[in-house]
Amino acid sequence: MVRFIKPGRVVIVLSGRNAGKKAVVVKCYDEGSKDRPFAHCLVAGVKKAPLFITPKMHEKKQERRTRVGAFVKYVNYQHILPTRYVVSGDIDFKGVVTDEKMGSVKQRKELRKELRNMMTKKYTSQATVKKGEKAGSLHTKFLFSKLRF
Amino acid sequence: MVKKGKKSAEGMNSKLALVMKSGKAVLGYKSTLKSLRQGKSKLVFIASNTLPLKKSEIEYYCMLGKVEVHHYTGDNNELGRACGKMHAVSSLSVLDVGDSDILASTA
Repeated sequence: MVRFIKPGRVVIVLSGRNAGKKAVVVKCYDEGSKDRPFAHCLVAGVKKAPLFITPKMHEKKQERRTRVGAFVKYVNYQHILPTRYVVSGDIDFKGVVTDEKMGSVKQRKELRKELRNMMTKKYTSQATVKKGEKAGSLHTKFLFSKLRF
Repeated sequence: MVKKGKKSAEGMNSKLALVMKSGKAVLGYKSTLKSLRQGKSKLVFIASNTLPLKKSEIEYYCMLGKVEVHHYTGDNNELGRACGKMHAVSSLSVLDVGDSDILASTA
């Protein structure tokens, strides 16, 4: 009764190169579009989840390991599995990931880089989350953890 | 919530038949998921012998979409028969209830 594939919803990509990766819905095209006459959405996903770090590691190594690899993709609804997690307050995704930027290959590459920085920042800023925001951080934690299967 | 146990399978069958006749329903796993995604589903039936993974998946979608799931007491052959079809139906999604009071009784 409720449409649940909405911007902010964490989703698992089911097919293609990024199968098994978690992503956030940025924009939904429930009615499809001219190029893609099927219900699909634009997702920004975590291609490579950040690895664990220990204080013993060199700072450069830590920085390398906390990097988040990102991808953007138009996915058919059939090829995603929505989860109950929602990453709210990610209106920044919507501003950054636009259809124009998805247009050319070069722009997509830059887009991915931008996303990568955004996601890494979001991931590292989780540690400084206040007590009141505990619920929200669970959802972002889910997004950045690797789905083991 | 407790009412479910008291309702007989016969009652459910006749209600389902009424939905088929007067309302709209989609049969099959793929269509059920589609209707759930679109938010058009009102009620979902799952046969008892559905594969557990599929069953869980449909239940999860229903949980997300706040749609009620009815675990049909009978296997997919019986559910198909209840729909008036000559084939087995493992999952079924009611889009439009029609004249039936199926929603009121399962609520």
